[in-house]
Amino acid sequence: MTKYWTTFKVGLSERLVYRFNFFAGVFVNFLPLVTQFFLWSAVFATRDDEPIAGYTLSSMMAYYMLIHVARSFSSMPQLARTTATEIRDGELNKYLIRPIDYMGYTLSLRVAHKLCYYLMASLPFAVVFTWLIYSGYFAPWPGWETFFYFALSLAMAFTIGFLLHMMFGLIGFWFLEVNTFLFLYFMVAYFFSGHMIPLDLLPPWLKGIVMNLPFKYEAYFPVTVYLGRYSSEELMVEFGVEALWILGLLIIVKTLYRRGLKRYGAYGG
Amino acid sequence: MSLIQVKNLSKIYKVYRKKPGFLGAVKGLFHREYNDVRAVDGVSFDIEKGEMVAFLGPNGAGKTTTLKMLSGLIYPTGGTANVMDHIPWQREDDYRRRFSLVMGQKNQLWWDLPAEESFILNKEIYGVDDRSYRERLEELTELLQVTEILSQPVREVSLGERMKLELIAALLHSPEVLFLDEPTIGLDVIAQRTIRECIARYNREKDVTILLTSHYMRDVEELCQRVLVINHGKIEYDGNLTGILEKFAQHKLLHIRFRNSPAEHELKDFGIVVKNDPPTATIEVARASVLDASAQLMQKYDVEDLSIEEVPIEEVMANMFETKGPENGNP
Repeated sequence: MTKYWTTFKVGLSERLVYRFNFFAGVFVNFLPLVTQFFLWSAVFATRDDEPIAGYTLSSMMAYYMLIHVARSFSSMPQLARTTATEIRDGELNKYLIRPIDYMGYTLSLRVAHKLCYYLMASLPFAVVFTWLIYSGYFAPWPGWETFFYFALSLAMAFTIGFLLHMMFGLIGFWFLEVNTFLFLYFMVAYFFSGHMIPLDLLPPWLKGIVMNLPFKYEAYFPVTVYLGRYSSEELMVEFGVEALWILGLLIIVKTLYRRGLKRYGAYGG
Repeated sequence: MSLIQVKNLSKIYKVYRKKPGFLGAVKGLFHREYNDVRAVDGVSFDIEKGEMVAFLGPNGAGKTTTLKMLSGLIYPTGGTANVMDHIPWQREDDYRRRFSLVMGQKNQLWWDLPAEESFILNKEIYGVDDRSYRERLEELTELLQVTEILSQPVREVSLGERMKLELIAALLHSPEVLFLDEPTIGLDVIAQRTIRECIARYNREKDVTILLTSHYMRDVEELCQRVLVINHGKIEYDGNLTGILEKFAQHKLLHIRFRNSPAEHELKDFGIVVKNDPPTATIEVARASVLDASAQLMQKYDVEDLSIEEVPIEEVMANMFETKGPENGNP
């Protein structure tokens, strides 16, 4: 285990090389929130603050704010692309010759990236949260139980995000160019994870499909857990299904990796 | 039993043959033709513990592919290999802890961090204890003269220095087998020498078995007692370096310094005149008649100095690779 712990630490110091870039990125991330605010204020103004699919303006703003939190766990910037590039250019060699597991190594680095992000993001997040709570858009504290489930759903969102990105990265074993696949995945995830709009706004037939896909666990599910939209039984079912998705994706990723290595040409050099 | 045993090892790459142009690309969407490229074609050899062996051959001969199979990066199409009682491509941790692969064109260190961070990570990955780590690091950094640049981000150091750091990263866990693929490529003469000396010393002192490829004949001449010449995926020669000359060089070179230079056409009777720059001349003479030729020259002309030399080994090998056409190699 020490080797993965050290990988984590080295990953952390590498991230800190780019701290400014990181810090700036965090701020840029909040910009869409501002446009969302104006958009939905206008929408609700036209219908006298009548709720839409159970969302009022304030719960809508809370939704988008929490989406940010959830996405900061489940999104994996550059993970899929880096993996595909490492496969294509033969950079995978350096992991294959050393007594370390590529998945474990990548996971350790990713946890380091995330931790670094939260360190940098905590200040802007605190500012925005304070503003939202102060303006009455946001319930200050959801209670211990909800908070626990929220934390659990975030941890699982991280896992699902990691596995999905890894899965698309491993396509690099079969295709030289993976950008099209990635673009497709990013679009689907943006829409079907509830990042763009709450999934409750979708037409019933589409919602029926999307609710049975894994993407909602990347964003929509943690957010609605926080907003208290589930009974305890529903929560158990959702967490159970999510765990099955994780297991299934893990098997897929492991299989892709094993079969991909049979094709791997270790090109270059 | 030998430390490395390779038997009939072969690797066939399936390569998609794209027809040129746009029409070719469209055709490729529906029907793909694949070519078999025999990168390594039934290679066999044994290497004993402590040997230092060079792989020689032109680009694309199969040297690197063989090294990749021996370090478990790719699976062979056929044949077997056994290194220290392990099958390399099973990639057991037990095996991976005991060898190293350095590729001159690849970078294993963290680009944005000082090399020392990469070393510490390797220390943990290979499970090296603190004491041996410190000892080895000190020894290697002194040997390669890189103590000052350890704390500099790798991207800021020169290619030569980086290669030394790569070598350190590969040696920290005291591998018993070392695969080196073009370790001195693109380096200046001094860096090349330092790296050579380090490799030689490691082989001598730690009895490390080394298999290296290089295009620099100096590397091979100074380091390796034994060479494997590989061309078109097949081994064409296995023995010591001078043996190559005896086997493949049909000529020797006669360097003569005359007091009175004869006309060039007279020299042509002895062999091919490579250079005629009076008062000196160089003649390529068939191996068997080189003594006769020198005796006759000295008798016939006023010779001030005469020496017999082997044709440069690079040239011998270049001839070897040129004449052995592709009829027995790639389809």
